Amino acid sequence: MSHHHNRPAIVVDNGTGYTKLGFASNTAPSFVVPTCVSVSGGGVSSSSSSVLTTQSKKEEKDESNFPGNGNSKKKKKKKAYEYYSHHNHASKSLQDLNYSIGEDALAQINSKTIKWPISNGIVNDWTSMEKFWQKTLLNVLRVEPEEHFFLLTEPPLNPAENRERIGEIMFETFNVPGVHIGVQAVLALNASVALNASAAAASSKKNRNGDEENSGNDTSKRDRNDGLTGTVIDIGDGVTHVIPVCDGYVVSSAIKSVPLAGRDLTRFVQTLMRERGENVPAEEFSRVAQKVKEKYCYVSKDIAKEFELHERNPKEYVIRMEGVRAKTNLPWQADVGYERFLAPEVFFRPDMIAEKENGFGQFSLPELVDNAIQECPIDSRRKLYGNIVLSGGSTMFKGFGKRVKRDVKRVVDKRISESEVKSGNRLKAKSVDVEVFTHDMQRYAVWFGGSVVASMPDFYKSCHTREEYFEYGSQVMRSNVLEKEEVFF
Amino acid sequence: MVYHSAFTELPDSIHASCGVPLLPLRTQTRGPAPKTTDFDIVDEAIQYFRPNVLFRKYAIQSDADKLLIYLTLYISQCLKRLHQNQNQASSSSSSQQGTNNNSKKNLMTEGAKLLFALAHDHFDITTGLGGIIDGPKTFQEGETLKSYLAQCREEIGLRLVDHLYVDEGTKMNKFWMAFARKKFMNKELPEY
Repeated sequence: MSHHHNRPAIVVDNGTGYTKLGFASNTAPSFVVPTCVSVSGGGVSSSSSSVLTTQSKKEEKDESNFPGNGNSKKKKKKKAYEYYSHHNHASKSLQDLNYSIGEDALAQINSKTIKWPISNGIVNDWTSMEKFWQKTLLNVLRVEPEEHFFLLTEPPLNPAENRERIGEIMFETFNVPGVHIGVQAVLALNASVALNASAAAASSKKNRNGDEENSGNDTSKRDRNDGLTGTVIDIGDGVTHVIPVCDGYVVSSAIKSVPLAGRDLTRFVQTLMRERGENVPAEEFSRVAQKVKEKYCYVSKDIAKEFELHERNPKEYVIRMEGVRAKTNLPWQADVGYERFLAPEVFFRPDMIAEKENGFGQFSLPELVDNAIQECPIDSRRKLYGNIVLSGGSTMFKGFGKRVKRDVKRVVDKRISESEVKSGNRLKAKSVDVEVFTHDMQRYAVWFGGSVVASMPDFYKSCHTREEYFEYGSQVMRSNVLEKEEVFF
Repeated sequence: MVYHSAFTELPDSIHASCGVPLLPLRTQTRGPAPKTTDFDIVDEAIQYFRPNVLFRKYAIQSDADKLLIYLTLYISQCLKRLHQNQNQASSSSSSQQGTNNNSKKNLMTEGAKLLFALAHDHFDITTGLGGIIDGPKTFQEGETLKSYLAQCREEIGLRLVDHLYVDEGTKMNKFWMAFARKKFMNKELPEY
């Protein structure tokens, strides 16, 4: 087994929108692939597909007899669920091998069915997920899975059954030597700790020329052990999480999770541009909107002032986009205006998106952060406020960290002053430091954290191994190795 | 944050009708409004229109907010009217392309005329507002408020056209017109 240790572990972070994969101890993932699979048979008529689905259902029942299955009742439920996910494609046959993933799959959007195996951060279509992994490991990353340890990520509150499924696929299909499943939020914290350590080293050399950022000086002072207490704001494509972590453990009762994230922002940009009558070809609209979101959006301090700036100085703020229609080769032009600052504003004022009014609740992101921290043990709250870490592509907007810091501070100060008044001004509270930690690795923070963890010498001890799996069955995956023994951090 | 009116602390000299304070206006128009040369509620309404109209919830914090809500809804109505007019114009002018160089120049003045007419159109002070403005206790009170609001409406029309047209009044500003279909607080002033 020791020879596996010479090869770097493979870090795979499966997100709703994109999967990030690469080798441990690299600073950035080698590949970022849209998490989707295209399957043929989108055009199968309904009568024949119903026959196929009953067939595949039968096969599933046979399949479910393989060793190491947990609770049979749960199994049945899951199978019934998969029955739907199977609905559109043929049973195991040669046709099954004919599929593509990622960008290739998206290119076939007109001729094939596109499946997104992950929704809101949680895998719900394991057949597609397995196919996706197959292609990403063998054709994209081009590795022999049986020769590398793996670090996979899971969202907070991931059902233990899902962890078993990961074990089944990884050990039985890919025959990997070992798997570690890390919680995304904890990995994001690890990333910030690692970056802090290197930043602290760099800043001590630099001898602090000026205060570059508000957070810069404070965060570099924190020592390594403090690092694994913090609040992670993880905004991906499909879901927003606010996750308090104390000493490396997720406070799962205090997690806030909201189905409003990057994808909704793209849709909002699109709505705003369409309402204004921007002349973007319909088939390219969502791609254009995504580009606008990723390239041009920023967080403003005050949207009324920002509107005025845009109106007074359109040359500086309005961006002209150009392109060519795919079908007719005619050029098109569109202006990008106030959506640049309105889209990220959705996190701070969710009632701007009408249909999400009930989904998001009446809470803005800063309020969610405050609520989450208030539900944590009282002796950890100051640390949690003082170490808010951003993770995920949708936290990359310029000014996002500062705005979160300001708004969380406002919420906290308001509550403190209210309770001071209630006490008849006899009690004075020490003011709470709110710090938001931003860094360059934010977009792939989880992956980067995984890369850091998987490059530690102790990493191999923290893995579920193949031997263990075949000895005890898939339930070994249920437990977190961290609970079993003290490993790293 | 929604934006609230800054005119919260009012001197005693300012009267109120139906719970709405008759704030001073920077205006030449005739009516009961006290005159001022400073930033006034109409400026505020225009400035906060686009940020506020996006939100459905708005908690009234002061009496001036009631006026701000009314004016915001009125600006919505202006945009809607101009939008309808624009659609009619474009459908009729598309038949006679090339000859519209002159008519293009007139867009801004035409819009100003339209808004003037709208300002002095028949309107009611309480319907469509969901009880934001109290019903008048006397006939006189209602009439005072009505003529004050008419004055605000006219002034809004005068100032709004500067924002709504670009390229020396030959083109509508799409960054404003896109807000024509937004419904502030899910309300609309009734059309007559």
